[in-house]
Amino acid sequence: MSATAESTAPAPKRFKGRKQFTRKQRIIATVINLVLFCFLWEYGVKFFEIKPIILPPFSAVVAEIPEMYEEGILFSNLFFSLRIYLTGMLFSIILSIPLGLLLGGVKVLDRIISPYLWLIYTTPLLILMPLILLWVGINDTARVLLVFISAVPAIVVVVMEGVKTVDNSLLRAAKSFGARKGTLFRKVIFPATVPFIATGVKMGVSRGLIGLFVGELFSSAKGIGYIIELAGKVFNMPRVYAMLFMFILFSITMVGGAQYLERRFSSWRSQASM
Amino acid sequence: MTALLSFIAFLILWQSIVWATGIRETLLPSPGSVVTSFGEIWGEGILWPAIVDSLQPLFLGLVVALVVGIPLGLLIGSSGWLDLIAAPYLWGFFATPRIATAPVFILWLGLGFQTKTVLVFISALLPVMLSCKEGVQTVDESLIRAARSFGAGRFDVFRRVVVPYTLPFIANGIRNGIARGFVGLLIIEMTVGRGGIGQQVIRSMGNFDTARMFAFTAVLMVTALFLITLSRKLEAYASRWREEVYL
Repeated sequence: MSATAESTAPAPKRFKGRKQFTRKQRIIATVINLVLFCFLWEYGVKFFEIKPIILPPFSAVVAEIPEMYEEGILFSNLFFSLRIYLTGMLFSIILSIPLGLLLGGVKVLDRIISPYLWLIYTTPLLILMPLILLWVGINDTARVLLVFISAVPAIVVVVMEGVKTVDNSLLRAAKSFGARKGTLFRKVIFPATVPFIATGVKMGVSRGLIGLFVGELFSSAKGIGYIIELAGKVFNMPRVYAMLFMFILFSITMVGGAQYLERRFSSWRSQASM
Repeated sequence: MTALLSFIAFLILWQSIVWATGIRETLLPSPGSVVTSFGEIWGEGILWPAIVDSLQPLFLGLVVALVVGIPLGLLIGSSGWLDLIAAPYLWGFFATPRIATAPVFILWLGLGFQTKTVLVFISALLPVMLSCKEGVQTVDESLIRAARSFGAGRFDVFRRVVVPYTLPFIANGIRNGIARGFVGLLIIEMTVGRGGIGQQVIRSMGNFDTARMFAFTAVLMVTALFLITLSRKLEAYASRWREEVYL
């Protein structure tokens, strides 16, 4: 139906927005969707006779998972990656939040440090990887450090920007009731910044995953990235895909967790202002 | 101005740390020797080819990502059904760093220009698509209803309401896309090492020529800064109809 015909129609149709689905519908649809995808993969590969070196059939990839389990390389590597990742993230969150609050709240510091911060934020810090390996050697510390430097700038920048968006009238109100700097920080700026902190952590979580993977790709004898690289080198494609799948699950868990936290922390704000 | 002053202070601090601690050049070169190295790589004529080698796949990959990503994002955003179908895949890809797929692409396409371009493409595609999708989905329904009641058709609504409203989101997506694409490019250059600034960084490190590595890193930072400034200008331009522009 054309645009003009619709607009000149005598009985105008009720406005219909985007189709909305309930949560249950979405879950069912997603399951069907994924099952269909697996089928398409399995039979598409067979139908088009794609070489297994390009894309192995779905069943071969799935079969690889118990095999890796029996070889004892599945969970050991998963946990290894998890440990490195969580350690790096913990340190970066502990450091970034106060730093971001400070940079956002204290003008002088902002002026002096934020140019570097933006520079670091834009340039992938992974370029420092060779230097890190040079300084601390190829070990777990280097890997944790890689996660750390990947995540920190993202978190700091978001928290810093968050502090700057604090409503001025709130600050003025608090000041006129006699709040000191410390109280201001604790009672006004920090609560107002909490949603931004949550967003920053979410951004950091996904950036940190990059650091984790690259660290393992380059300089590891363990971990998910290492297994993928190793399997790729010997052209064991099912294992590459299976481990990639594991990594996707790993990432979804981390990012999903962060997103859940973000939603919880920003719920009070969306009610008020949005 | 403050930035310049603080940069000079930074250089002085760096130089004095090197002097005070007498640290070896391989671990931390002085700013002076970095500048010397920069002159060297300029003189040897390896600086410019490295930059070109990096920028070519970057631009090609980005352009393709924009051409594919923007319409696709708008489409997914405006249709509930498409959103429902695409959601799990978008999610999976969003959460996973795209570099994780690098080993697969290396096996498919080899180590050269193609792999770099494809990696830039997929790194940039997702942020662009997600931003566009989000933009369309946050369009104020009352605006659409108002336009409809003034007789705008589906296409008019799209062109006059949805697209302008979404522009800032698109620009934001482009900015993220550039940043992500750049990361993807660097990592592939560093791991695979076929041309480009990333390879030069790794090679300098292999020769324990840390000053040269710093020089290349500086080139890289300037390139990144240039790209980001460009895209922020674009973002400000795209959202100029909004009352305030936060940069």
